[in-house]
Amino acid sequence: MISINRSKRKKYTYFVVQILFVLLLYLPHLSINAQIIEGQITDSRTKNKLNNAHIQIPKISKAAISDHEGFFRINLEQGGTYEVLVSYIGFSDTSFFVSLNNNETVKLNIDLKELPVVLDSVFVTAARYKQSNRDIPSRVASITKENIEKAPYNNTDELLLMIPGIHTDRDFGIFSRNAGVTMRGMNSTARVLVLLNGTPINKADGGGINWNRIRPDDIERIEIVKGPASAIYGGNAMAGIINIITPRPAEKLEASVKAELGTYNTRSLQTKLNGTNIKNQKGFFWGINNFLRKGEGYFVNTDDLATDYDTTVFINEIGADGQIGYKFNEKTDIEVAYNFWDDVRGEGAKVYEELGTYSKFKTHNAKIAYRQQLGKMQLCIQPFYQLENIIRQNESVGRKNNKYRYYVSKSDREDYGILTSVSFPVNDRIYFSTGIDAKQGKVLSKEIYYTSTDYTRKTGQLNQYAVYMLGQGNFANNKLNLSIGLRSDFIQFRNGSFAIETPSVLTAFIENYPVEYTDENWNAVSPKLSARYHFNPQLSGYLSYAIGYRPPMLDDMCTNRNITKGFKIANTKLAPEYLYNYEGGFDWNITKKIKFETSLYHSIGNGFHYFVGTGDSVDTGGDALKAVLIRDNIAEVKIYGIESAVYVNILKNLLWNINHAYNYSFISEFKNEKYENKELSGKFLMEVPAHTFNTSALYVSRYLTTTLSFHYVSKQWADDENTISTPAYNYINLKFTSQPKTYLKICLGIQNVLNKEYLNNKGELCPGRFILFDCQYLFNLKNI
Amino acid sequence: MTGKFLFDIRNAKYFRSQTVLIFLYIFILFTIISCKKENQVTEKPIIKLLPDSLCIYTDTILPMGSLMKFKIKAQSEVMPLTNFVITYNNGSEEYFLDTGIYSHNFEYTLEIIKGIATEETWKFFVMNKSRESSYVSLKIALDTGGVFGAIKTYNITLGAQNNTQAGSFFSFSDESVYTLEQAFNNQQLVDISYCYYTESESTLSSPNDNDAPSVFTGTYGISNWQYRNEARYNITSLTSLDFDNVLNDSLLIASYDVVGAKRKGKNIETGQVWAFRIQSGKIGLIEVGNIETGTGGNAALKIKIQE
Repeated sequence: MISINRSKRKKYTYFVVQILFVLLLYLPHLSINAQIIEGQITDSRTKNKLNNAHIQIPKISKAAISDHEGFFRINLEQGGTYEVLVSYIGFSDTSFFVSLNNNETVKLNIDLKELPVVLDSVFVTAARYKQSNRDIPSRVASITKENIEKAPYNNTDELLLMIPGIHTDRDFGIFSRNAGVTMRGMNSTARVLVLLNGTPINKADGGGINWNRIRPDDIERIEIVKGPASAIYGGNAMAGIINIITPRPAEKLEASVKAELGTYNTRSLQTKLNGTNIKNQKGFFWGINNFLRKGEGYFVNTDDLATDYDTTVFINEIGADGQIGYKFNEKTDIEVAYNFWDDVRGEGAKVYEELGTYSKFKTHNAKIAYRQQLGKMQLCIQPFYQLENIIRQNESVGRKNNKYRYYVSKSDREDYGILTSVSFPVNDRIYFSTGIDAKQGKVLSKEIYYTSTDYTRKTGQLNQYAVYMLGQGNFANNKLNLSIGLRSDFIQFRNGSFAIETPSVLTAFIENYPVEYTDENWNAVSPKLSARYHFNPQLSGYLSYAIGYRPPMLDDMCTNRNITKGFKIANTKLAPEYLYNYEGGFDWNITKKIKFETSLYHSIGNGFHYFVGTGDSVDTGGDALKAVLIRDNIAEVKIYGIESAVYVNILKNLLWNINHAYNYSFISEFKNEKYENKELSGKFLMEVPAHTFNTSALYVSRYLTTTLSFHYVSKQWADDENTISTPAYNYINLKFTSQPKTYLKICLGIQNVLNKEYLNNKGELCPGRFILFDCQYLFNLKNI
Repeated sequence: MTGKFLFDIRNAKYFRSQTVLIFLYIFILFTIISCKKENQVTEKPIIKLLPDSLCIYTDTILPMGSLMKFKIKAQSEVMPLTNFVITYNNGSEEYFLDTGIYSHNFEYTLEIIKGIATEETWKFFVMNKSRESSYVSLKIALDTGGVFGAIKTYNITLGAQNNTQAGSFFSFSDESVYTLEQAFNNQQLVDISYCYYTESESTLSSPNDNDAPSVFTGTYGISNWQYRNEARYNITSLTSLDFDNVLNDSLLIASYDVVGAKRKGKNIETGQVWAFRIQSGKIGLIEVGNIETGTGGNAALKIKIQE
């Protein structure tokens, strides 16, 4: 025992404190004599911390792994200059040099950029529930937000050129009235089903969609399923499905303002405000976005076709959308979304009216999505509604007879329904999904003539009710993925009518062609059977058989009207088209940096719709008689095709991809016994190019991303008889993207860099070189 | 410094709420901007027959072969006139003219020969952009005590467009066959023409035919003409004997289809008898003689026309 008197105790305490102080002061140096490199790894886009990133210093063979907060720390033997390498799966590797003195600590904040090529990702479209695309025994593809931001395109349909075998037709660039998207050797946009967040937006009247109202900036990703998918989604999914998925707010509060300026005095303004208060998987999310764009356009007629009534094809667009949702827990949420679009697009002719010939699309689209996990079962219910009001004002002066013609057509196209699905695991290898869908599409259309007394009115309705089942399983130690799907659709045509009030000499002859509008019903059974086998982690192959169908369009069933080829009469007996598809392909990760995929397919189309002459001719008031035509199920079509893509990581920050598709699509049989002599057997499908080729190179550097793309489209037939063709064309696009500050993004895009002139099948000009510059300011509100 | 500013980021909550409100206002504004309704104006146009010199503006009685002249005036103050229709009814209604126009004021003069109908109703109809319409009509009865007019007879040969021997154009006032160059220099006198089209083959025509500029081309081509007279044709069931027996204009008038006649007499064949009317309103008959087909061919024509 030590006994210390008070004064000595004081001195003793003071001495101990000093020693401790000295130790504390020198402990870091004494313990290691340490030089330290430490820091945090984050995702440059989302600012999420990256767990398990790999940090290494090759010179001294030292490495570290980031923790769940993204932090890492490496102790060094001595100071000096060291190269640091950082890598993380799915992100660009990065390297830099760090210089530090002895006993110095260097702190780093490292942002990694996500790689554009996504090898394995979550996919929802193939089966209506989330699954890894590795497990899907079909040809699928996805385009991510990263791809979209860097892609040198101005329109959503053009983004699809990144995927082999998809052909887009957009003659006038952003000034086009609409775009056509086709795939797998087929024409007609109505043979591709387009979904917006899982709900169909193809209209019953016409079958197509308005691509102009879907902005690339509003897309999180696009999922594509190739080949018939009617087994899951029903009608229109003959050639495939395109599902456009919009983002869900992830930040507490974020806002942005973007301004664009481009050729032909094109300017736009876009604002976005989104937020969420989700904590512990519970809370609200919401967003409101606005868009406004105007462009003066250009003249589409060549000198040969120019008239005194030519004017520019202009655009005037406005859009707004809002969403609000609530997340009850990790697997249950509800979301309500509304989208509004209104545009006016000039069509290049003006006689007397202020806007001349134009089209106006006003669309209201609303959707509710409810998802709930009940034990192991996942339930999804999605009611949807879409109303499209189309107004088309047409002014023209006949080239030969100099007659002035002015009329307006107004269509209200209403499509609504409900999609339901229930998915659950049968066991740890098999997943089952089933559901009931109901859809109704209506049209009320009027043609109001001002230069004659005619007033036509058309109505029609198409109902579709369906039940589907899908079983998917992984076998043989996860090497074999099997999928069996079956769907039965019951389709009804109702309330068809067509009437002309106060007919003039132009339409009086229609009384000679009365149409009996009967109620019609059809059944369509669509199976799909597919399998994928993984030979090894790098190589897998698949085989698939599926049937797809397309219901008849209301326009063909209800309307009698003049068309370019003649005068068409309605056919209420028009039945659905069917497509039988056989395909196979493989995916091969040749190396870590090279991926190759290919698919071969053979499709047989039955009951394809074509116009045939009835044998009659009518006097519509012009100089010559016009043939009376009717659309009927009279063609068998055959398609042989191959599509391939290669993705190459040439250098760390240089990516290159190429895709090519070849289609041999022709009419194998033309069953024309009922009508006048017309033979199309052996003719190629119109508007289907035999070859499409797309390639792009992407270079990512610290401050600038550059994308260069080249596109080639071979010759296409412009008519069913294969007498008129559109020549082959090619063009180059270029885009520069930079984010010099976290709050500032700048882009410069140049489409058709070489300003090549090419014509559409009507002899009208493309826009030529089109330059678009945009600047986006991002408000960082989450830290406020 | 205290107090709240619109973007005072020192007051974080206020800044956030103001930002949200501003974007909400923009959203609502965008939606409202596009919700414009078109103003619908209802206004009936006015149409009347003018009582100008020699014009018919009320019900009357006329002998066959008389020249009827109607002068129509229409107006619509707010919305422009867009459609003008003339119908003719002598038992069933037929369209004489149905054309698009775009004007607040419109005048039209129709000159036509009285036919053999006992009673015919002429209706003049106009519609404006509001699809409001008005019309005037009048009845013309046949004066059976009328005297028929004299006729003139011609035998000519007209060459097709590439014929270097025979001209393709004929003038009744000048009683001359013209080549293209001669016709160009006498545009106002040219009444009828002959050409060979791929579609309609041997064809009776006139300078105002839609397709005439495409076959009569070059420096003197019809696309360069200032005056293009128009003739209209309809085939009849008359025989060569009927034609030979015509001594006055009664059968000429009776054979001409006021409403159905067209700017082309297509696919003419030897032995056919065609009725026609020229720009000045005179009506005649053509008996088709020998034809040599092709663009270098010709057609022999016998013509009887009102004097």
